[in-house]
Amino acid sequence: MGADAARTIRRHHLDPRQFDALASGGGDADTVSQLLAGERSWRMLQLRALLDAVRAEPHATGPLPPFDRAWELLVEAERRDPAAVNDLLLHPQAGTWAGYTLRRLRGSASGSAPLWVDLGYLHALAAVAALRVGLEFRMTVPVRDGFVVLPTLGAARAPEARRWDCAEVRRGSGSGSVDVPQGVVPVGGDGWVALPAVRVEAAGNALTVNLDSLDPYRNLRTPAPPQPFPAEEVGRWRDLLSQAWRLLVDTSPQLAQSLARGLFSIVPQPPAEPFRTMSASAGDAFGSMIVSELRDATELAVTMVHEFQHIKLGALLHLTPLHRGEPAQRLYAPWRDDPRPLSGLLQGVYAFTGITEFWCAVRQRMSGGVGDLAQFEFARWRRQVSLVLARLAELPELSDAGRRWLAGLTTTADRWRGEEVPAAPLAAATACVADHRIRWRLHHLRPDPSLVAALATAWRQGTARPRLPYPEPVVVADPAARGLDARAVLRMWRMTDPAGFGALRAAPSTIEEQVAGATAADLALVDGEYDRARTEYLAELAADPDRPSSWAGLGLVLAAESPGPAADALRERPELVRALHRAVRDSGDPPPDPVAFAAWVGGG
Amino acid sequence: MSQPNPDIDSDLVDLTEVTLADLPTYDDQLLSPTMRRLLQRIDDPESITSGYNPQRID
Repeated sequence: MGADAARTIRRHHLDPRQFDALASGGGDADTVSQLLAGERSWRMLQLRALLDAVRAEPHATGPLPPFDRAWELLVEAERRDPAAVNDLLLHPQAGTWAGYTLRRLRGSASGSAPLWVDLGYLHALAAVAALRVGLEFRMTVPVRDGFVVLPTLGAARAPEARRWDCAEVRRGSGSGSVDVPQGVVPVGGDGWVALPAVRVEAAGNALTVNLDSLDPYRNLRTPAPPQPFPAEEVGRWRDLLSQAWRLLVDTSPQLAQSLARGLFSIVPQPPAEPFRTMSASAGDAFGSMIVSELRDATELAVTMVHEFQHIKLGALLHLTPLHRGEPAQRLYAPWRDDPRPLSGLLQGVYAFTGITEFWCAVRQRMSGGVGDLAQFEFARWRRQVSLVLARLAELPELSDAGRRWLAGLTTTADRWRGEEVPAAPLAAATACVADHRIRWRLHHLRPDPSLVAALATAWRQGTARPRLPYPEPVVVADPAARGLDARAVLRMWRMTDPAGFGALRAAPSTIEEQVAGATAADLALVDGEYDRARTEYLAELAADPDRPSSWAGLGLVLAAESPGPAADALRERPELVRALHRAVRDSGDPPPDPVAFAAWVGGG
Repeated sequence: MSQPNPDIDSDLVDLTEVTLADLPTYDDQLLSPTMRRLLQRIDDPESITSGYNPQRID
């Protein structure tokens, strides 16, 4: 392409007001449209990368027509109706497909299906495009796991097909159909499973999403067999979504409008534990969120906010990076069990800024236990987001755009400071913030071995704890760290379902089944029975002196009932207490009393 | 009066007006900076997810 043409090449840019709106945690529907324009270019880039990669493997499409043939049909459909094909290209699962298939072609991902089955998604997209714009055509597409999936439309059942097989999609003068081993399945007729679409409305604002359990590329990383969604479950989701949408429209109208512009697909998953919703979104799948089946509309609303923050940031990152490189050590993310890379922490703080804003807005509308929960969640995440923003500000790896983005979030977080929170939920939030931090330190920080050795020697000699400098401990991720939020979950349970919490207290041996990672000691602590909690935590430590949750729980009990050096040590340097206790045991000495030991560590 | 914030400029070529017909032969050199970035993300497994809270499932 010549110089003249080069001068006319356009690149994406974001209006500063739109960037700053995104940076503050928001962004209106027009801003989402700008992000979508970037996503369209990113999708075209993915497709070009696929075309180039497949050209190097001309036999990769196996029994299917050549990739170029599918491409030609897509081109023909675009000529007939560019807008229809544009919408199809922006189908979120098409992005996940493109990313995954590129990984297969580049050797960084493997799959159970033959490569041609994955490549054949393009053939399926082309068939859908042709159907949507009314072309007469024939196209061979893959069958996988008993279904011929036509993205955004649905699937034809093919129970007699082999696991990986081919089928012909065609359209003559009538409507489309799919030829499968058992016969012809008319699109929309017998043997056809339509992709459920749900439309909800509130105060003139409409949201339409697909409930996608069919598209093989609906999950994060690897393809999944289609699983038709029962009609009664569609109804349940519609009801819940309707209530959640009403809540969002009433409390955050601009957010609702931007969601309506940018959320296209919900991928339902099996239910998770109460207060432990599983949700996810993929960087290549703008507009899709994966979410476990939820119990109430508020939980769905906050999850929609959560994932839409990730969706927006994913699109922004396609336009401009917010950081260059990664710090040497992974970072503390208060909403996770594991240490995170900077890229992950940026995603998390953005999501939880949105979540905090949500709770700030909705708490005034709620009362009773759910009101307490809303206040608690606002206070908890307000504190955690602020801590993370302060940490991010220290990092040299942020780009100029990243610093500007961080400044926007910080302005939003500063606004929350003046918000009043009632005493009880505020105290619960404060305890949970401390709890998570302490447990994280216990799992993932390793104090300097020479310091540990020197202090162990002093302890064994019966001397006072020497004053020694405390080098920054090293982050060593503990893969066994799970359920750091267990006590927070119990607190939320107690706030919103006192009878249910009472049942847990009455049968503490069953607590692990209800709240993974929780123990009877945690129940006692959350219920304010500090003496009992102390006894239980000491018993846990007698059985397993290394148990991080027990050390953290003991520290919380001491902080509540007998503040002093022991509580201070377990709050500020719990990893040192635990490592030192282990060192003393490893030397052959009997295990020291945890409280006296922590007091000695804290007394230096 | 402080200077207004500048636009956020991206290296992502604006392909919104490019048709599928033209895409296969679009100039490599013009696409290459962002293509490099895309392929780096493809090769980085951490980039697959935007958000995921695995501690909330077993």
